[in-house]
Amino acid sequence: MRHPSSRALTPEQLESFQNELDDLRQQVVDDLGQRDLEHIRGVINAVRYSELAGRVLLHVSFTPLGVVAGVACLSLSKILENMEVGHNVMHGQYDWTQDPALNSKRYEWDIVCAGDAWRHYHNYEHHTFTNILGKDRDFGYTITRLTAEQPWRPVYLLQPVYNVVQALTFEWGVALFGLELERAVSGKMSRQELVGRLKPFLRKAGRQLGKDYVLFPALAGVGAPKVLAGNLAANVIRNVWAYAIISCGHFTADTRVYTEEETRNESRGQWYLRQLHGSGNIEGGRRFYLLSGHLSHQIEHHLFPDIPAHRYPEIAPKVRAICDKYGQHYNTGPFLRQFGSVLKRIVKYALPIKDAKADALQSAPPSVQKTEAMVARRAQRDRKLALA
Amino acid sequence: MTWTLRLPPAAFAGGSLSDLTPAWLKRVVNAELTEFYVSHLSPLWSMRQVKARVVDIVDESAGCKSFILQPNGLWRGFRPGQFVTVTVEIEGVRQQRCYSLSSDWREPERLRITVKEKKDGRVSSWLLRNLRKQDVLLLSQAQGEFTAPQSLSEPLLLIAAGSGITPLRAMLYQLEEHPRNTVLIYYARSREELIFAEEIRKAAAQCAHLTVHICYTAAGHNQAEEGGRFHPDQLSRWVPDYRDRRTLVCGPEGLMQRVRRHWREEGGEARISFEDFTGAFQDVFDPGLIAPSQSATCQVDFQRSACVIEADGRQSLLDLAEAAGLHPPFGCRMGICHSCKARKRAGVVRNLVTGKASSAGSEEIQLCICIPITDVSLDV
Repeated sequence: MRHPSSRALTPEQLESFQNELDDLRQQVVDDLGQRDLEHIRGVINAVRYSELAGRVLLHVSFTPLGVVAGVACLSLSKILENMEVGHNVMHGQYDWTQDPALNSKRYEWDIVCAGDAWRHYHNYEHHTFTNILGKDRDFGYTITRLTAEQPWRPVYLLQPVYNVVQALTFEWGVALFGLELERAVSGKMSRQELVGRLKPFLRKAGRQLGKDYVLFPALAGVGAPKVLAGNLAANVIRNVWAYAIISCGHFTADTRVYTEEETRNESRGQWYLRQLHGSGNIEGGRRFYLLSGHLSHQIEHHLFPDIPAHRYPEIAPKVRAICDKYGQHYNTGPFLRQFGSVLKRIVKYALPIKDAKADALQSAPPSVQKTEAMVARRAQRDRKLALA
Repeated sequence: MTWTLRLPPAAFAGGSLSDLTPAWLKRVVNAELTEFYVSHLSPLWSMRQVKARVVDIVDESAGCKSFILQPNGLWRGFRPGQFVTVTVEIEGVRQQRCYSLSSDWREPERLRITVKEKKDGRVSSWLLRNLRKQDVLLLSQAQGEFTAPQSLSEPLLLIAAGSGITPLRAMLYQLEEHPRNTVLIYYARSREELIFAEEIRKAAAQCAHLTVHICYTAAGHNQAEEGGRFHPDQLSRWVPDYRDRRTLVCGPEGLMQRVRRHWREEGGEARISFEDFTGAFQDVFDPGLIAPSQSATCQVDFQRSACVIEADGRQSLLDLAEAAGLHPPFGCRMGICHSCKARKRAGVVRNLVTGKASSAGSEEIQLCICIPITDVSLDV
């Protein structure tokens, strides 16, 4: 469970590392209040009014500048809605407010992926089994090879190309990914389950397509092609931005992967370590953080996925100080460097490469002994999973 | 600068727009979105929620105020004795409490709730300290069955103590239009804590069929002359025919218990109604009251599954549900993914991650990291 640039911890050190992070979480939870509610309501205001401005501009203006401004407003609205509002509200970050409009289970976002499917595979699968090969389907999204431990196949030669396609159509990738169609193809999914997954997808996708490509263009009359093109552009801009931010979260050079074997009997402290070593941050300014939905602070998000994201920049220095104290690597860097290292990784592992560093990672001994209680707990969790 | 369009609220919130909207349009239009824009044009407007503006605040007695509320067009009216659920945001958290309406039913545009300062009453204290004229509250429609019977020939006995007078005050307004034989016995600690003193005196003077007895219960008052606490002797003295009357009681737990006991002994329980918010809506819980040894015998009621099981105070609610053969949604089992969230109707649970006890009322909890420490009812 060791990161190559991090120190191995004794069980006592690991426990106090865990306690310090638990305490930090508790400090924020105890402090939640009016300020957090005002933040998210402010962002929702910005989402609604920039959408209104964008749609009005697209409808009424026939000059290139007006159309570009409309597309910019609409893209901004969609980016803020998906990243800072949708993603974070659906994580349960604002459930404590008891406001039904901010309830994690009720919220439905402006993207073709239906909320319920996403809640399951993202909140549960990805955040519980982060970077465990074979269990965290977010790692490479099934179609991209990012580590030497994934067996190479000729189709991976094309991954630099289809990652470009994926960036342009990201929301469709997210939605199709949630369907787990590969299980249907290999015959591992019953017909009933397939229908159960397809129905909400088709309903949501139909709604999104109808809104952006039928209803609003139709309302524009002769301006229909212009509005349709503007909506398409806004969706694509949002897609590329989301792809870039999200792929920096776990695919940068310094993030490592795990096997099921080595994570079988994890304690909470070990879970924290895996979240830390499996994630990477992006440095930037306040506006950049907001536009990224604070996924710029992927490490803090993975340690504490359900505390309001705008708190991450405030607690990041404290998290980093704890990591320094325990000699743990804290993966961060400016956007271009982090995204560059993702692109490099995508190109590198397209080839049938054998990686000495990855081999070393794989053979690194687990730093903490497993207790019987941990073994039993994890076995129980696996049983439940199998039942599902 | 803030501005508000002066259109009648009913234009957006009456039967008009929301009822006239065709079903297909409702399917296409995002309800959250419409609600957002409508409420940003004016805080009182809504397509689906009763909202009310505070138009006046009246000091009733020490630590007690009435708030006069003007509801939007979605308000469907009330019957005297009913209550509304008021929603307020306190430090970013929505809180709900019930308040009886003390208003005159002939003035549907002027609702009145009367709020008395209570020890540990978070919402009441907040309302008294922070609510200002022009503020907007979220209301439910009128609820509750604590109302006088329709038949005017049936005589009434009303018993109230403290702020328990509020629903009964609304019933007294009814008498002005529809006179019926009524006796009101009203207990207050002292003259200063009497609520609606002047109005009740006026009502008694106007309505020939209304008799009022006011009793002071604090030490220092002449108990023989001024009544003191509820006692069966008072009934036989003031209302000899009380057994033939429909009786409505509202007040603190102590009064209700004494009255209930007396009626039970007399076998007249069918003819008496109580209004009681303390059980369902208390928000104060002292974890010190629960000794660890007591937690061994909690019962967990999975209401939707019609299944009650015993908890030993060690297993999480999710484990208990699964052990009972139920299939609630589950997830990470460490409190991060929020998949197993469910509504707790009543009871107190301890959060294993924070170590803290929950409130006793209705709220959403994460089944995988909560253990019951009192009897708990869940919507599972």
